[in-house]
Amino acid sequence: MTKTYDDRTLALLHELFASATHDASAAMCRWTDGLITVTLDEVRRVPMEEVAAALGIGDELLTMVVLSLQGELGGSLILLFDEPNGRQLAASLLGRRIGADPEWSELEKSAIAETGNILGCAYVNALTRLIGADLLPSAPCFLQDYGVSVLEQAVIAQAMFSDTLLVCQIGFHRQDEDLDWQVVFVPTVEMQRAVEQSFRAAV
Amino acid sequence: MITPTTSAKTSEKTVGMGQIAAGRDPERLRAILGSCIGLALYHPRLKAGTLAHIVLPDSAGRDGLPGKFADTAVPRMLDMLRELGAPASGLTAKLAGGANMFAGSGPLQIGDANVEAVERVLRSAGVRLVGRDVGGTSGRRVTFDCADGTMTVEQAGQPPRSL
Amino acid sequence: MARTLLVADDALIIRQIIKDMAAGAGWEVVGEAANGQEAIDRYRELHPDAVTLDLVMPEHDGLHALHGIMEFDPQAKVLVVSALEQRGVLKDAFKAGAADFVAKPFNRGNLQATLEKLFPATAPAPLQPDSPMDSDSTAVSSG
Repeated sequence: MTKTYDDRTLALLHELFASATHDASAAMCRWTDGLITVTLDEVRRVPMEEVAAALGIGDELLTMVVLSLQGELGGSLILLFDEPNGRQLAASLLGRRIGADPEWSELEKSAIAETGNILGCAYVNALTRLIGADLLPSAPCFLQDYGVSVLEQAVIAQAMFSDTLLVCQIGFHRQDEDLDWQVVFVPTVEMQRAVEQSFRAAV
Repeated sequence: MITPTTSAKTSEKTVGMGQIAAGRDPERLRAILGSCIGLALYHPRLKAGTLAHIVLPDSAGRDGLPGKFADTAVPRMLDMLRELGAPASGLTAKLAGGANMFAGSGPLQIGDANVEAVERVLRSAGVRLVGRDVGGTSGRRVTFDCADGTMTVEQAGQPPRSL
Repeated sequence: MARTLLVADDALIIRQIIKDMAAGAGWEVVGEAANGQEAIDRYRELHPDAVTLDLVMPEHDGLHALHGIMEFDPQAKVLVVSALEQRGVLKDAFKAGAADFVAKPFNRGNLQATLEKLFPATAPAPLQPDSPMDSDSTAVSSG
């Protein structure tokens, strides 16, 4: 079967993000003392009206960390957990049991935000190296809100140009267990074009 | 075109980004909003309404899902209501959303721009705005009840409120 | 007399880890900063022997802080501690006067050793183990 232009583009993007995810996994593994790794699940185009459902994001409140990429080649990276998983990660990073207080302490929020920072910077470092463009992340933003609301704002830059959105979905694993956390990376249209161009130049 | 998803149990339709849904009493229309706008137009006598999930202020002539842009959503909503037998006169509008949740890669203050655009288009169409819950930095879950035209707005950490 | 350290990072957990490590190695942590401008202001106020400095911070970033600190004190000893490990950025940091760089997630022993190189103690400081710490400290270790 002849591959469409879009199939080839998606395959290129998959290759690029898989390589970046490998680096991000190494960073995550170091940060969590060998406990947690990440893998690229999928790079795909999704109709705008279905994007939340396609990513398995319902209408519940989630714990999230958002990083934006600054500069001409932008994008957003969203780290998402439900409340129990978020608290569990924070507790393991702090070497403690999950606190009895339902309110998150500043240290717990910081642990999660820094997880997002380390992951986000690992992606940014890899993408900068692979596509030869300067990419700088924002400081991480810790949020507890509707996942759909955050996702909406993250996809705006793509939505300006298209009704189908490109998203990269990254899963977390603890040894052999899949965790109910995920990272969604939403590149801007400019980033997508730069990636395609750098791959074609390398071939 | 993918239609809003319906929960058969509760006659509740979820309206995704760029979509518009219409409903009659006792149906409810729901959307989760960040920088987007949930705009409801309602005819109180006929108990018929539409909810649009508007993403961007201005189509600038571009194609897209009818609910995606403020300037295309409102005319389409008026058409849908006309098809349900509800004329433009006598309609009221309620809107929610337009938050700015984080400094993203998209246009700055897109939430504010969306609010402004929707209100401008409503004024041009002569539809009276009777409720608004906009801005801030938090997401909103809105449920529009076609039985009485109430829009319920939920935000994390706050009790629900009604427009 | 203990060597003094200013810790600049927007992440409370990282400031905590660095403070714990530094105190255990004989440093006196005299101040903290959570953004680049705060780092400059605190440096001017405290004149520490050394600074650990993150790059990605809100409002004003680490490069802004580095320029401000070096302008105030061309002899300042600044150790950049960041997850942002890019040739261009690091080149700018070293050009601006950074003394060294440690990547996050960092190995505490490596961070301590790098600080020691910047500003050696007169007596040898105890090396930090890389094992999880007790309940009063953060447990994150890496590298």
